Amino acid sequence: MSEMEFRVVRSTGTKIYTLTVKPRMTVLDALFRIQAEQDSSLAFRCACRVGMCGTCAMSINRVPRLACKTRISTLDSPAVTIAPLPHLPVIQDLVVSLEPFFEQWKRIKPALRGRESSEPATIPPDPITSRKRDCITCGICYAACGVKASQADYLGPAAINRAFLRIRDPRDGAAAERLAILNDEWSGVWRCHTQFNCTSVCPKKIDLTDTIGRLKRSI
Amino acid sequence: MTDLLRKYGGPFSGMLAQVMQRITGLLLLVYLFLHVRTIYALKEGPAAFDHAVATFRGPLFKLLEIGLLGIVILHALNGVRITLIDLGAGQSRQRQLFWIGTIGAGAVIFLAGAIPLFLASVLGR
Repeated sequence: MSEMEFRVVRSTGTKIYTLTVKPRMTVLDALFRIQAEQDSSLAFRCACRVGMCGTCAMSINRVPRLACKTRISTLDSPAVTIAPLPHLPVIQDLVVSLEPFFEQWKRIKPALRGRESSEPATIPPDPITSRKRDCITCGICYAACGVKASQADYLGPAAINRAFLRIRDPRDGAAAERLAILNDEWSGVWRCHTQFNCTSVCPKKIDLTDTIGRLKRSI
Repeated sequence: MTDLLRKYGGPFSGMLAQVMQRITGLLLLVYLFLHVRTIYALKEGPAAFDHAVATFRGPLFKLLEIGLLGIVILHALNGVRITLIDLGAGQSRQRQLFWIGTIGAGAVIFLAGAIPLFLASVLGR
């Protein structure tokens, strides 16, 4: 156990809290301790606490991560800086609105639009998409994307990944429509500059840059 | 500072590579304008061209030339890295491609070219 400094970027400015850290403690545990013992006004969001829901996404030591999946010891840092996710409007303290993220998500028409066929659909196992289906829409890739920082219209990695999954689905009948959206010069896949930020930070280890690369080659 | 080094040396090194590609690209564009301007002096005759070229014979320009060598090497090697990635090769090894293929190999090639250039052009040996 050791004393550690937590610099939390709140809506009212940065506030420093000192906390005794236990060996397997996560950043989310630390936030709960701060809220319970030092400052009940601290706002943050969480739900599942096991990395399934993506609700506790925030910037930890300048990298967007899930607070519940980030052990403090793995940060290997004398202090922890916690801030809301970048590129998203802050509601309060560490709570951001995912509205812009889902606006882009809606643009690629995320729901399945079945093709007209009398034949029953067969879905063979697809090793390319199996891991890509694990997206929890936490918004971490969106917040880490350097292109998104300067290009508000850009769809972002998560929405592009969703479109890719729909296009690969043999039941889907709107591939051409989705490809036209993805092919847009300013908001589609061509905006990606293969920075790999999205792939590096994805808590579900989805290779999002690979998805975008595959779409670029197929368009 | 340590956080920044960890971030851009590790998970965000691809972003560092892209920023580096942009900056070296812009510097090459500046060089290209200078180069075209110098060649353009040929239009005014051999004497004008010799005069334009003579400007670049000083030690300062020789040092800039060594800098240009570094810029060209970084831009070219990272360009090869990006091309490979766009073709679908080396995606899972993109960080190694940057740190070893671009920075590491680039440093070796740069030193192999820069040391003789420095000795001959700047020190005059």
